[in-house]
Amino acid sequence: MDIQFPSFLKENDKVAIISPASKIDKTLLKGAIDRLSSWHLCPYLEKNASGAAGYYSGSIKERLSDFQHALDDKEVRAILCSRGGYGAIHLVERLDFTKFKESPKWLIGFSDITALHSLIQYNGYASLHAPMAKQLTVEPEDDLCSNYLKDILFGKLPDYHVEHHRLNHYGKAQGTLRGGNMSVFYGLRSTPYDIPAENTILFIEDVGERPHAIERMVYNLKLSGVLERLSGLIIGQFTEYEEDKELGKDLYGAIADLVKEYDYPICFNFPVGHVTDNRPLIEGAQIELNVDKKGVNLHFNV
Amino acid sequence: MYKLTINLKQLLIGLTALFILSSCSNCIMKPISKSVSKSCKFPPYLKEGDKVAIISPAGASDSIMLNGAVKCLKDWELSPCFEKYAAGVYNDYSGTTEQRLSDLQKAFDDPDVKAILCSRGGYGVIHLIDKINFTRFNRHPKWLIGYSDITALHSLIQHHSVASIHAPMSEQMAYEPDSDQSLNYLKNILFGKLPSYHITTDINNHPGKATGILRGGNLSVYYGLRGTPYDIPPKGTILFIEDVGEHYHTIERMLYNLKLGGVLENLSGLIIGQFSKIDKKEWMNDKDTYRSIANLLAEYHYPICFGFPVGHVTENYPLIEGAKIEMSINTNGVDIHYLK
Repeated sequence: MDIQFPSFLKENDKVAIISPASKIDKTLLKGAIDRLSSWHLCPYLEKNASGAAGYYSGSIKERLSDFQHALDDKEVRAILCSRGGYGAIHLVERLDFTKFKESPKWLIGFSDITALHSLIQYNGYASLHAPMAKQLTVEPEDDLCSNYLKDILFGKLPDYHVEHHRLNHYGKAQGTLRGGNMSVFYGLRSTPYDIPAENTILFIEDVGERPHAIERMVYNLKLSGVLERLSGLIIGQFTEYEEDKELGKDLYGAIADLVKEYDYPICFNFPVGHVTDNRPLIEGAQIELNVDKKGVNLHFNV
Repeated sequence: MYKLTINLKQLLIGLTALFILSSCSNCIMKPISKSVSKSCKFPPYLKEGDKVAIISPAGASDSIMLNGAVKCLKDWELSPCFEKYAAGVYNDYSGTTEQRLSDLQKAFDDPDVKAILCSRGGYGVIHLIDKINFTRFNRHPKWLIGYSDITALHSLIQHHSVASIHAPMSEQMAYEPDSDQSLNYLKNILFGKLPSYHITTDINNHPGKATGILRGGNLSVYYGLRGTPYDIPPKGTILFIEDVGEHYHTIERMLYNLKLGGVLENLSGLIIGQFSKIDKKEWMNDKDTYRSIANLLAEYHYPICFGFPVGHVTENYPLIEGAKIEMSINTNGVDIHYLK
């Protein structure tokens, strides 16, 4: 299935800000509004974006109604998820995409928002795995990744070049870019929203997971034949975990052992994840991935 | 001619629409395995003097646990023996993947071995799962005993249509008294005397009566096999789950996976075991873990039992994976018995 791009944005376009999972600090919402306004866009907060209900921004009903409202609004050209955390999974089966398909728009976010990216790809549209409100608030105006995000929204697609890593597999591949947070992507394994392996260049990142839990997920992808059917693999940043002796090797080493047998291009240490250098990636886009001794080039084919 | 072209066009449009419709209806169907749970073949029961191999297919065991297992099995008039690396240590594992594999394979292949006790779980069984040869095991099937990380081996053995025993391991054998109920149930099963379990009622239970094939184990480990050849077919299955030391949101995410993946709606019954050492965090508020799980399961009408004594606790009733059972839940409690 061909994935379609929503229209790119132009000045004064409306951008909805929602909090579909965890609650967020109001100063970060203000920062996101200021940054989007400085790009000459018109951001607004959905009703419960700054709400709080325990750990979440609102009840399932409240979070659902915000998201549905933003999806349905013809004037909204992009939806920024203020943050991840946990809770997007509650909404996955309850959203109606009828009106979205009449006026598709870009969804922006990462981490727990990965589940919503999978859902949007399932409905046939591309979306933006990219930094959220915190980065738009705390990083300076010249922040590399915020500016890549801005460029993409306005239709200027970047080329990424990243440094060589000793565990890389050399090669050149074309495929559909898909993925995101490993635990969240994995949470949709064998559901209708699971990522198809064929023609996919998969990217993964995670935060605060134990190495053996990551290894178990990679084993799952291996045992179920996902890994052998991929066109390429991008290993992003795995942060806030303890390298213990559980695996007897470091996490990248453990992943490298499991993917040793595949001859498609594989890139380690790509700048995507819970870090400042979190390059926006267009989920569902056709890309060319070229890995050689000089490094890695990722090019969007449009 | 013009008319014919139109008709052909219409036909083509019609066919395309049909094709799109049929492919759409395919894509909204949940990817349920077409297979239905079938009861597994029971290996022969044990008799006095039978050989029992002790292996450590995942984490390293200590000598107190291993010696305790030997003493317990000897008390049952069995002949336990250690495979080569059962007491080994390699990082957190008992041995390298090759060493653990060779122990397991040797125990599988030995026609004199009538049961295999996994000394403990931990993490590491997944390394062995696609590397084990079943040719000799299928000729001389034997009982595999263990739980927690061993859940992956149970799934593998059920994949080969043989039953196995989800049961306490060496730690319980070393530290619990001779009179320990769960261990005595294990002994009874090994010698062919299948128990019936009665447990007290729980406010979250769904009443009803079901027959089905008993399968499951540790939720994280079972979930680790979703979409692989070793995944559990939901149809005809009475699933049991337990877990230890997970975050509440991780458990909820796994249950959502089973819900969105169509597993839950296709089960014949569900047994919620012990969820111990759960990190609840602030979002739990006043709701307890079971209550939250119950909310997710509210829509299912088959019998569901909460708080079953299976998990990382002393009262860890042995369950025969792959066995056909009847589960009956009413205001008097829960009854489970094996159907021959």
